[in-house]
Amino acid sequence: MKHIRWIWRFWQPHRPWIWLLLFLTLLSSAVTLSYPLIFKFMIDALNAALTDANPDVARTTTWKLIWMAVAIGVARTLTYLYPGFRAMLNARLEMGIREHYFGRILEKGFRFFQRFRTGDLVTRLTDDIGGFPKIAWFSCSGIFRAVESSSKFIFCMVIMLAMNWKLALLSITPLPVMLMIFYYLRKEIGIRATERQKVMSKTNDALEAAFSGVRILKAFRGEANQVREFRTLLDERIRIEISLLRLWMGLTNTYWAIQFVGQIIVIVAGGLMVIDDRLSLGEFYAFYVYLSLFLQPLMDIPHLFVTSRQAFACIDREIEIEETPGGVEGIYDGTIPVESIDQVEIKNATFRYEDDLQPALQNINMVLRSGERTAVVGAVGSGKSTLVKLAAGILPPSDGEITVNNHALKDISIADYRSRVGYIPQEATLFSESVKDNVSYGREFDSSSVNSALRMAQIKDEMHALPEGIDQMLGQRGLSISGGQKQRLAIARALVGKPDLLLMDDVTASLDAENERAFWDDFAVELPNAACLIVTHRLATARQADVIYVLSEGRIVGRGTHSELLETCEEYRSFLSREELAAALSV
Amino acid sequence: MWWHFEESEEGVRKQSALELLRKVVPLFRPHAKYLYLGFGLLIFVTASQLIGPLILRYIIDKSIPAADTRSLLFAAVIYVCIAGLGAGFGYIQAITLFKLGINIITDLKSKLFEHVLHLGLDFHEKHSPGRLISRVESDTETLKELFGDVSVNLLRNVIFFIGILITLVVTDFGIAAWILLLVPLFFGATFWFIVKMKPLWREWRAQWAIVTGYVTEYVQGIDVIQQFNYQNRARARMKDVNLNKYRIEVPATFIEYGFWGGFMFGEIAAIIIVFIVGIPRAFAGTLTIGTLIMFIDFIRQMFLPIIQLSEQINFIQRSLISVERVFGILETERSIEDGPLKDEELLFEEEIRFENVWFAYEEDNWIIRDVSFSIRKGQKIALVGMSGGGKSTVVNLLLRFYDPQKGRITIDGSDIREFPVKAWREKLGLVLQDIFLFPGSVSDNLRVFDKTVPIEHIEKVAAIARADGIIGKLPGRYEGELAERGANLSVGERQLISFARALAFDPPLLVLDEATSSVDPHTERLVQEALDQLLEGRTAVIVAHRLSTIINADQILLIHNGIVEEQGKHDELLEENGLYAKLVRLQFEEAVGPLTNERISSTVPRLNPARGES
Repeated sequence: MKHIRWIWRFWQPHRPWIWLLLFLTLLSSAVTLSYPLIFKFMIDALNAALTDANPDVARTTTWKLIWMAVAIGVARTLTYLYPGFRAMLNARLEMGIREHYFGRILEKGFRFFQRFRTGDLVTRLTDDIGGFPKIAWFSCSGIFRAVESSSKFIFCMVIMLAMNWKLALLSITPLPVMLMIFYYLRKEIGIRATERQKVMSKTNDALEAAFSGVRILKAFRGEANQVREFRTLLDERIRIEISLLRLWMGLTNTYWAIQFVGQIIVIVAGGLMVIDDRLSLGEFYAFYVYLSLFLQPLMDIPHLFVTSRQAFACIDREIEIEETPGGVEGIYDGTIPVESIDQVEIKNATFRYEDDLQPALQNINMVLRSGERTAVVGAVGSGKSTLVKLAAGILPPSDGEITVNNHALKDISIADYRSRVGYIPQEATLFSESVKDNVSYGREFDSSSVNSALRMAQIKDEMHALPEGIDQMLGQRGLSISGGQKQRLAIARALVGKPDLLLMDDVTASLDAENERAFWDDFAVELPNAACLIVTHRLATARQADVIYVLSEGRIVGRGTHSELLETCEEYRSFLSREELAAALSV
Repeated sequence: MWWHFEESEEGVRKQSALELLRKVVPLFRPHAKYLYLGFGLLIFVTASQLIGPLILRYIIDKSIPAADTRSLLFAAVIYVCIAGLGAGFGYIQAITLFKLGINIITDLKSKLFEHVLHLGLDFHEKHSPGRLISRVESDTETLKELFGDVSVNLLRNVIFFIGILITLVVTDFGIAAWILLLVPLFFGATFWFIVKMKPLWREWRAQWAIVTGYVTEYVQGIDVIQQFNYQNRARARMKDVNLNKYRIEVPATFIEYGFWGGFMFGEIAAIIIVFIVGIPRAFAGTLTIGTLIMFIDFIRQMFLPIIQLSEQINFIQRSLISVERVFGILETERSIEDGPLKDEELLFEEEIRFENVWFAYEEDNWIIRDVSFSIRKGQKIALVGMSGGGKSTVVNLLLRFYDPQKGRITIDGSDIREFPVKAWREKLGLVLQDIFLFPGSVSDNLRVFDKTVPIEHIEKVAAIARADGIIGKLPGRYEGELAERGANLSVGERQLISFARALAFDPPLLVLDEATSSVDPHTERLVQEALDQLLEGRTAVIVAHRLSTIINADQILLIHNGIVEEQGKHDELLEENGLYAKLVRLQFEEAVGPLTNERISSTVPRLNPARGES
């Protein structure tokens, strides 16, 4: 019921279509089922004409029959468009559902993304919704097909009963027995299908592990043994598949038997009735055809159950998106407007990715002032990126607080704050837009601002050298550029708004030492009053900072200038030694 | 490599369908008997389905006019017998062909898996696990469908269709000839339509890919989107790409259904022909009404197979790409070959040497340049240097994950390429920094699925590697499944398990990539003890990160920019006062402040001064 209500929700904007689809359903059932009826008339008319043996009657009969055939042909061709309308609604529902959940994901916080990997979310937004026979298909085609089948089944019964109720009842006598067999088999099939699903996911795990761990396997000569293990799984799969097939065959044979026994009954009992003149020849043939039409809807309805299970599982996955908290809901929804950022203070902040995990950051105190450059150094996993995200307002502190111009960040408008912050993530993300749009990124900036940002990011000339300059499309169906260039574009994106606070998460890889020097020189001229928080591995960068924080295992273990820290902080020296060695060896 | 596994558009197929078929046929050869049986049955079963309309004609023309109840019953009995037999045989046929298909595909699947596992690391570096999984799993499943259901149904449809035509021709050539004239017309129209629709559906797939592409991009860049308040733009863009897809999808669907709707009109056209030609003859008495009805009934059943045929041909076309991919992998040659010598001929008595070894992952981009050094039996060799300098490549070459392009690696004077790969790797134990545990039990992980290793042995080595304590605490101990591949174990604990794994095979040469990550003091002590046990009496090549390991090494190789920059013992290298000395000085300043060379040598606590024989 939950699922049906869910589906209903997405039907809301398309409600008028339901009537059309229902109408088309009835029309299509009527046309399909009038087909044998028309044959009945044709045959009876022909039979009558033959008995009459009048040449005039013969000619008119022939024409009458031909027109009948044309009429039924046209009607049938038109009803063939009905599935087209269903497909159209499938597509509309698909769009609506995707846009809804895409919008939800856009608002989610870190906790949500801890839990769902990108690939998983992409599947939920694409294949789960638009695949066959998944959500969108089921929500329209699946349901209306079942409606169509039921209506066909009912029509069929009604027509047969009306034509000759005795023969109709006789021909469906095998139905109840067969249905019992069928429901038993279906239950068994369900069990086996689950088993198959399990063993298939086991094979997938085995493959994943074997390919990811191929070095270990090779080093320990485990290849042959791994192949044997894999084969065992596959043999199990064969066993299940075969038993599944047997059951399926049982099921289809049951269906077939329903039709077949019915046809035999029609042939014998119906034949006898024709002999006794209690049934016309046309009716005899119509019964024979109805029994084969009657079968198809009967197969469609159980199909609905099978696909519903699959679609409902997908729906559950969508609902999960809605229900999984992002960990930031209702935290940053203040309203105090911010014109500019003068000072950001992190006060005794602690951050945990999960409640029961070690904190990624612990008791962090830090002040970022206008015009001041703050560097953060520390080993991999010491919490540097987390710190930057905390300052950016992406991650809310679990304990402690962040203040902006002495207002709690919670109370001020986060959109205002973000618009004054230039954030450069460690992994540059570009989108399939033009260079210019990637830099201005939804904000209104003219070409000259974009160019000046590109120049500061030391990438202007390279971008202007592209075939279409800064209007060059990137990404899908566009050009792909190098990792370093991506990162520098991300820098330009952060700078184009002339931010009051620049957050830079380790860009050593994309800016070589010379470019970085040039960058800071330009920066000092263009944005002298901006506060900076820079995560770096580069000694020269750290050295120039007004204050350096040394991070180790989520704590600040040193704070001061380069020379102060050299005196007092062991971790800082160890950091230096590694970096200096790197510098020494790279000469 | 010539083979590209990118999703290629149709048309850039490098092998013709016939060529692919030639590769597939040998798979069936060993099962030919069942294949013939299956298809023999298929023909019978399909033929038996033609009986219905014939019976109908008999009853209408013979039994009913004569009011002959006996012949009516007789016809019904014949019908029951033939159709019942058909159903029975149909069951046997389905099971036979299915078993045949699933066995062939399972063989293919495990062969493919085996082949991929045996392909060199060059191959694995190029193809992500995800992609390989879809080759081994999805592509073979597509093949299963292709050679199972699809082929069988295709054949069934062809037989059924031809069967109908033959029956019609035999019954009344006069009418059948007209229908025969229609057949090429319908096939022509179908073919034309499929060709016409192809670009439209290709465009639809491209639009789908764009939707997926944008979703991926936006989900990946969610931080940036939120940070720059881009949500509304992202939503608008999503709507755009959704609409682009919709605008292709809906007309294409309508055209598709419209065509098939029109196509079904062909059925009516055929019936009209039967009327025009048949009715005058019925009046003339040369055609019975039963025959007329039989014709109508056959025509009613004749068109569905044509539609299904077109779907099946479509599927076959699409799935040829899977065939191509699967055979592309199977035809990829192993880059590492077994040598001609026997396992027993491989001894390790004296030393392993790198002799002027050159290696490049990509042509001419030499990662290792003219490297020579020797590892004497019993020595501990420490590899040091910056990451990217070539240490791990040396390890890769040593393990024969790759073979050098120039120079050679020898053991007691013979090139290691002379021996079977397996025999060579048997001499080696590997402990990687990235500790990889397989899904499965602890014991399976320790013996890397080699069931011939007895559990007692596993327990023994676990104890030596100080891993017994951890394993004892796990639910199910040695037979317990590792949850999430050991995600519930700490780094240090996983390290101990990987030590035990290396010990389980008692290799004479140990290749160890020391872990850089720090662990808690208690585990650290265990790791150190285990490490000592592991190195005891063994030759070892260690990618070293701990100073203590380096100092205790019999030989240190400073590898930098692909060459052995400095080589010697710790004291000797300090004397040289080169890069190594610099490294050590830096490392030591953190611990005890600025020191002179002499102070370094004298203050370093030797863990086991007696170790090392050379």
